[in-house]
Amino acid sequence: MLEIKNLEKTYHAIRYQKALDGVSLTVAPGEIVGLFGENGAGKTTFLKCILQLLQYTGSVTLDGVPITHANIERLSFATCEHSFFPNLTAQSHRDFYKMHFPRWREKRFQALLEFFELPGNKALRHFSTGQKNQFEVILALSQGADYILMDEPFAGNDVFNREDFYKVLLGILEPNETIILSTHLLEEVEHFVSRAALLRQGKLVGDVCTLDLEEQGRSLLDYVKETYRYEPDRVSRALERLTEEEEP
Amino acid sequence: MKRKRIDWDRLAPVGLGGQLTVRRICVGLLLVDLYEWIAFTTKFSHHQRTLYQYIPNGGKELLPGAVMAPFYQTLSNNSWGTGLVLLMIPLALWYYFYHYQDSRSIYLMRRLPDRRELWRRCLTIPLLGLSACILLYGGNLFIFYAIYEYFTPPQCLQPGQWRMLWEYMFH
Repeated sequence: MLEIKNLEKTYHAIRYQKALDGVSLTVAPGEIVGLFGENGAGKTTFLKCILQLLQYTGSVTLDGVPITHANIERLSFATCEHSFFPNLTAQSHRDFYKMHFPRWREKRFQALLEFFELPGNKALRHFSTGQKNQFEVILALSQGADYILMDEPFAGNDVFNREDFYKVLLGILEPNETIILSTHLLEEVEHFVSRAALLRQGKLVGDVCTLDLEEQGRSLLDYVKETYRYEPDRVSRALERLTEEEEP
Repeated sequence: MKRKRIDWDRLAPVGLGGQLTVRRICVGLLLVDLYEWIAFTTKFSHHQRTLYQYIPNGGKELLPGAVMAPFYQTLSNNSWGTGLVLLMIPLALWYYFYHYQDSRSIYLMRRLPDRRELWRRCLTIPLLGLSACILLYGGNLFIFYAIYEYFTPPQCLQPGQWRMLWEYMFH
């Protein structure tokens, strides 16, 4: 169980702006949680705090134990910023991960590499952006972690590629493997995630099971719009104002 | 017995390769050492020549009351060696910030179960380079001083050589 309690993060460099303001979330094993929110809502900061990459106040525990180097191998991370070594080949990455992560999933790694037709002996800096994203996710899935954190992992991949990924993910994930996926692609992941958490200006403003939404006959997008108090006529009003100003 | 070779690549940032850097540091040290020896032998022989007067039949005799220049004056100004020592600081910084180039591999390095891995890969080679510079400089100093003492006539030696060297270095 991943428990996040009263997570607060302030960026002192940006006028003491609170990036996270008392966020609490509990994620049980096997859940696939979608983390949604506008740009700057705090999604990336939230994931980086869980991974102990940023300093924060509050608590993050894994089965009741704070996350340290002793249990960090239970978390993996795929980010659109990429955390691999560009000068290394895919197979050299495998060697490095195998050396550091004892629960490395060799079979899954090779199968995914083959499925996405990624070259094993080519330095990653020569990969296309889509291939880099794929490889980043493959590493996160093969590390042998219980909690796989993903931050916009498919930014730059085409729709068919993303579709393939969701299918593969659902097919290979074991019941105890948990995913926290931060993305803007709401409609695409709607049927992939089991739960949606919404962040707005550093606060958790929504937390819902997608099954509940389905039963209510609401889509995830509707839920997000409602929670965000989205005004559908906002654009038309703005356009009206703009055209009024230009008329003599 | 088979000699165990050090895998320098495991002591440098992943994908950067440590072997080449170590080779470059060794070449740098060798050049600095060569420079120090040339500077010392040139200066020492020059100062030593001033102690004697040369007589027409090819011999030489010690000048009455001749005093050998202090030991520190026979040394090079060490700017190359200092430069090499100072290079180790940017090397360590470069190794660290390499993890921010083209990707954020720093995220992976910081979440490894072995917390020392990042620092081992960023600091080992620069620290070894620094140690090698200090050892080489210290070793040279003792060898040069032994040569200075052995080849200078005892009556020409000034007392307090190390104090003078210390004052020269730090004042």
